[in-house]
Amino acid sequence: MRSLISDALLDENMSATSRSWFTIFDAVFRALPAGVALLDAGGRVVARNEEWNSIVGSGFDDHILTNPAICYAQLAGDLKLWGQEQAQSVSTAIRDIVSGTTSNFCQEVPVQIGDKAGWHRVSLVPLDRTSFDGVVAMHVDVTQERQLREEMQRFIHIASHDLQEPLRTIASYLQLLERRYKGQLDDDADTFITYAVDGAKRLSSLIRDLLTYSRLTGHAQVEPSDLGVCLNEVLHALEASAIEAGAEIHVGPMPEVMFDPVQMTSLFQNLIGNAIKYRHPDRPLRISVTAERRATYWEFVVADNGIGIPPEFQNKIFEMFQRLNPRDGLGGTGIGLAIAKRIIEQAGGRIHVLSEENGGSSFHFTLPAPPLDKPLDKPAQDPQ
Amino acid sequence: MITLELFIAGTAANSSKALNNLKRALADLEIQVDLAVVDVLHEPKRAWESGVLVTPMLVRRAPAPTQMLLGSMDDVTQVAAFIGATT
Repeated sequence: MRSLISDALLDENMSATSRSWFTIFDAVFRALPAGVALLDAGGRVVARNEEWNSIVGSGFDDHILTNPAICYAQLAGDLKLWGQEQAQSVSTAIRDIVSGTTSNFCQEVPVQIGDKAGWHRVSLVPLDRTSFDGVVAMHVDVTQERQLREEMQRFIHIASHDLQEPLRTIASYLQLLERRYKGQLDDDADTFITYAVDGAKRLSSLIRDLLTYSRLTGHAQVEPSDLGVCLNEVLHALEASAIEAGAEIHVGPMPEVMFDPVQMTSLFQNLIGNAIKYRHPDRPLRISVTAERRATYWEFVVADNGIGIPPEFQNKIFEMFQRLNPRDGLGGTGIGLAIAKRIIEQAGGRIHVLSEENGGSSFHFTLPAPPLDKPLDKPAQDPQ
Repeated sequence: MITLELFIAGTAANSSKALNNLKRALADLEIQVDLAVVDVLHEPKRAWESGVLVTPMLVRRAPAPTQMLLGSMDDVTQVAAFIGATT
């Protein structure tokens, strides 16, 4: 097996310092819990660690020498690690990374491990865009992780479904009581029924939001999503409450980003929904949503002129069940911003809020983007 | 006699840059150099046997000792010093 150090280089001519560095990097490389390989610009494996050998294939050496020019993704296909479709998509990703049309690749890919079906999380990153033409490929076996995740999701789904069912019965009978007997019992009874109905409704939306949050545990589907389209959907969904609030919503030009469109939609729905919910009673609501390109990321701002957030709460609002006024009657569950934060952090971005009490709030979040020295839009096709 | 091998990966961006930079440095130097350009995509075995992990990579075979220079060689002065170095 060949690792980072090759005998051809490690001869008496190599300086002591270089040799030490090689030894250190080689030790790190070997110790990584992921299968890591260094690929040349054609996707050929030039070095790899032990983990790679055990999870991707130990038959590589023989194959490399007999099919020297072959891309590892194709080779892995020939060695029956994955099907031709996966081999094709990984090969394409390697080509796109070398040519600079994409900045990286990270996907969970179905694989065959021995006689069992499993999953690898495959990440591809350029070696060093400014100096070298190569790619680092990483394989992590996520079979167990996926199983646990699926079991957990199934459990939460069933649990929440089973919780919703009796809750719906409670709520509808309470409402029936309210309709039929309002004014026939004493005032206390009417109030109690109202509280009970409210409680049931809140519990129901809590369960729904918990379900949403739990679904975010997995890796998001990474695909091009036009945030303009996401925002349109959100505005459409919030139309009724926006009109009721007399809101004026300004949306700036939105980019296309490589993230899960469903999650992006839910993110904007949370932030804009909050702006509508926490509007100031004395002034017409103004909301603006803008995007600005920075060197290595997009910065988005969702700003409103609502009631604002006191400084001591500004960090807490992103934690689950942290609401400023638990009984403010504004109908939140305390999970919305936790969901927003989770979506953004899973996408590799960050979120924070700038706000003054009574002075409105602006939520700033970032999403990573390819560095600016490369074409931002659809890349020109490589002439070859 | 100075013997150089430049390992590149087809027409990939940094490889092309390195080739151009090296040619420029050689033109400035006006010394006799034996340069072999090896495309690792076409001759992977040769790259493999030479222990080339990344491209572009310039190897000075002679005069001894063998030395390597990695990267796109944007610093022409550094490249010239590397080629002309006698120690």
